[in-house]
Amino acid sequence: MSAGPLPTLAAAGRRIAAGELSPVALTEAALARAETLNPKLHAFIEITAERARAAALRAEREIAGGRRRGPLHGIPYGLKDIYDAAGLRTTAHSRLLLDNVAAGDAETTARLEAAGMILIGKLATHEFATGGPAFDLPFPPARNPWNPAHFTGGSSSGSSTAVAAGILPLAMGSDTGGSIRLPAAYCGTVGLKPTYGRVSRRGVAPLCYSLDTTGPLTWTVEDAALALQVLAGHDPRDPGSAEVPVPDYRAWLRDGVTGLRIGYCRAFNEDGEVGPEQASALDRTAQTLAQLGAEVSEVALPPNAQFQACARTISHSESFAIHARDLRTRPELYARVTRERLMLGGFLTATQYVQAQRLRRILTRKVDALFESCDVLLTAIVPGPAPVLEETDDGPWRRQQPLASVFNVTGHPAMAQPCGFAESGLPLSAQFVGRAFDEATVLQVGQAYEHAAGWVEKRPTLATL
Amino acid sequence: MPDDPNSEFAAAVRRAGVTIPDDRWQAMREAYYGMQALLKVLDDPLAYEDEPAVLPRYDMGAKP
Repeated sequence: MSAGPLPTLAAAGRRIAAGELSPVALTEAALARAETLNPKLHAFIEITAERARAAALRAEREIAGGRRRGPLHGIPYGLKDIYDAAGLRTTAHSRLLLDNVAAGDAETTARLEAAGMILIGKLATHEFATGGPAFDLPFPPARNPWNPAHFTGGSSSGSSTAVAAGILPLAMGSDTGGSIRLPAAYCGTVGLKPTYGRVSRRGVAPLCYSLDTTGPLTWTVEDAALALQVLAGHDPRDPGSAEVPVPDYRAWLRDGVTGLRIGYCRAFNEDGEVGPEQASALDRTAQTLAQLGAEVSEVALPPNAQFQACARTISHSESFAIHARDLRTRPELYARVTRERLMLGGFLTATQYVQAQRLRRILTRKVDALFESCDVLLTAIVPGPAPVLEETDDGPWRRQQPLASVFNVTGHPAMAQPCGFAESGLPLSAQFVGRAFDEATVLQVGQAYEHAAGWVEKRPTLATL
Repeated sequence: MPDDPNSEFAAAVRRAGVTIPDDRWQAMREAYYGMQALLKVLDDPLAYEDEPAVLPRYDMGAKP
């Protein structure tokens, strides 16, 4: 193994199947890269080297014995530290859970382990998957591999950092208002928020029961498809889990976009104060898709203000309900930014919560209606490249109206992926959105675009570290 | 509490049962009113048949 970035899931799987790469060598490479880069990037809260080495040896023996479990067998991955893994701490990056050792695996962890993957460690997050980058916590915030002076996005910050830095080909994130897609956008990775109910949330620390989703961050779209294949499926012990058949996500992956209808949400982007570099990159993305044979037309989403009212009321209310006791009795254990943002939920009324849930159904119906004339929507996920870390909003009320939570409100699957670079060298990102439970078409469009655009070839140099 | 104890925000803080340090009172007060301004859209009239998105589904998860 070279000392460079780890190969993608697809490439590693092919090489392991061909006997050209050993799980032990691949795991050692991941551990070495983690040990070298983590002091500068703070992607990991805990590196589980001993456990990883034992699992790699097991995988190697199984594969050598002709018992290869599938395309992910013997490949390293990481978990945002809100996912349970039996015997390991789940801290949620918080003082409150420093001694919280998981008794069992999250359903998602269990599925990745059953696929034969090798857990390398638990990854940094914004505290309880909310708040923001904070320096008054037991663990430092993760840093952006493209430029550590810039924000990683969040809350799956360690996940995006580890994938972008080439330490891991797969890291799990969670997305309540954009927390998979925002860090994917700022760190130049692929981040897939599946449809609400598609992937189990059981064993993952909750932030907001009716908005939380779990999903993968990867370097390529094909890797997102490979991960989703293992993760997707009904979990009867997750009350939000949907009993919907899981297709073969790679079956259409290379079918291209000829004849697919792309709805470009240009007006929505302008409503979200998207900057000129990001807007131009999205225009070029739409043009590329048209050149590839897609039918691109402009469509109008409902006003962002309605989505924001919905998302914030629901998210703040539910997260306050989860944290109320601790906020009242030991508030000093939270980071200031987390504490203040969580407390806002205590100021909302039951009427506001119910009205938000009523508006949510209306908005979902309106977005569903767009899919009568489109197969996939193209929107912005962030207004521009990652801001400087010190300029990140750490007040109790986020001034900027985020673009990401729209599809948490409606539950549709949404994927962020690179669509260019700013003059500063930082990544820009596009978001593809599909019909409920139609992640396959989102992946198909993303794959076609990724292949045509070629951004996937550019990795952070890590020279400034 | 660097505020009129009868103010809407002070009442909301009491109802929530949380404590806000004096040096963060103003920031939280601004956040509260910023949030309430954004949520004005929730006062728009809705029809009786506009039911909440989150409703119990007793046909789900019933299988052994």
